[in-house]
Amino acid sequence: MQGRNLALYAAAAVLPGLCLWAAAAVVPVRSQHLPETVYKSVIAIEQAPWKWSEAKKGSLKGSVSFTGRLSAQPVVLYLQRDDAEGTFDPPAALNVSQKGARFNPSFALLVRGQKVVFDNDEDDEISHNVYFLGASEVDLGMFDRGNSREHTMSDAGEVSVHCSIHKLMDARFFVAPSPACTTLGAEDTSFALSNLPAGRYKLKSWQKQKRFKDIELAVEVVADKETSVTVEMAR
Amino acid sequence: MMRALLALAVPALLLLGCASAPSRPEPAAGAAQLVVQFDGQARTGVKRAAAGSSDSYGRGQGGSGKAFAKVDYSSIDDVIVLIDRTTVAAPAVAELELDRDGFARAQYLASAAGGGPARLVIHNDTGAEAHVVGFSDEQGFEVSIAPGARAEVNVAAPGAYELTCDEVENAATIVHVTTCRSWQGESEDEAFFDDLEPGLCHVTVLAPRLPVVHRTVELAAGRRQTVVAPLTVNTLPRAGK
Repeated sequence: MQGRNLALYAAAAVLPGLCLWAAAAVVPVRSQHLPETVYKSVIAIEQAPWKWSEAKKGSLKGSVSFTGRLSAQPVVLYLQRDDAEGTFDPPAALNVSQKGARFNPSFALLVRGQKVVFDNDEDDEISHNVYFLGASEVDLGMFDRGNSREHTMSDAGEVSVHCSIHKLMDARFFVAPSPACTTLGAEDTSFALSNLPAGRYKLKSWQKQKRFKDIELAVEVVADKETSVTVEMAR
Repeated sequence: MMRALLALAVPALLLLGCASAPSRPEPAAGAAQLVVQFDGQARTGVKRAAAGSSDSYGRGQGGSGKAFAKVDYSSIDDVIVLIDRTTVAAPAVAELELDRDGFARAQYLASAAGGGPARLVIHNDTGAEAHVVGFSDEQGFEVSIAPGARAEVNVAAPGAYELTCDEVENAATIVHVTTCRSWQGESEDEAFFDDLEPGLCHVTVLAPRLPVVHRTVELAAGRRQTVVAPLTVNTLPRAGK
């Protein structure tokens, strides 16, 4: 009789565990992917072998108006070709400081193919980690004071940058499809892009903080000519 | 008789003790239940602090001040779970608190159930008039709120709305407007969904600053299924040199 009771107690102890084990047998299907509802998707780029350096060039200038209050947060304007993008030499690497557990700069406009170097230049023995979410999702590792990590931004789009140790250590990059891009500051009401390969493009905007509707304008860059556009950042 | 009572009482005590687990109804015969648990993990290679502290530390100590505040992976705020089952409940109002430091939460959840709009209520505790704008890919809104007042905004289209405030430069948050069954809370808690249609169910877990987690589970009638969502950067591919 005592043995039967022991068996009952044992079953009572083991059964909940078995149930939990069975319940946990789930199927992880998709691993991480870009959630369209949270981060901007990668900007799809079609690549062609033609070279920027050999193309006939034109330029684009524009005036920009904002409805409502001007924002101190940067607004990026960039061109995306209607046909395939050519090859180009990306700008020089961007160095990002991590002193004081802050990314400096905390915002950067980069160009696809550009390298970013994160320097752990802390005064004290403090380790940092760098990882990206968004158009690039990658972990650059842990590194101690005096060390650096570098990464080439191969995909265009929005990238948020974080340290997995320090919860306020964040930055945001926008990686443009090509060097045809510029950042508008708080006081800017005009822009100019020169040395652009002739062709048809979409002029698009990206905002570090979205305070206006993003724009998408069809523009044509004509060889040896200057094209003018008017950009209205409205709400 | 005593022994029989004991046999009944011991499992009951065991169940109570094993978990300060919340008491939940048993699943109905034709419906399923889902529990989403969270497993916050610091990055591999990051040592934990001494016992008694929940902070995660890097290889080097040091660094004082707000900027050096550490992520506590055992307690992550503002976790959101969405499952691909349409909600039939009355829309829940998203209450957003805005003060001079920005919005109180990194992300909010608003339900647009039954084809009606989602309702956002924004409380202005900045001490001055606040102009709040919100944009999803599809839709936007702008609202002015007097100091100490609140404004209500109806949002018809589901999506992720980025909200900012003209007067508070760093104020930024995301409101997820959804028609799905959803949950928001802290990672120490569990998301519990009852009365679900059996079949494959896609689960999305959104935690601030962390990769989005996707899982698909098979829900069976009369059963409770549990899924564990890792909240960590350890799932990211490693690169860099």
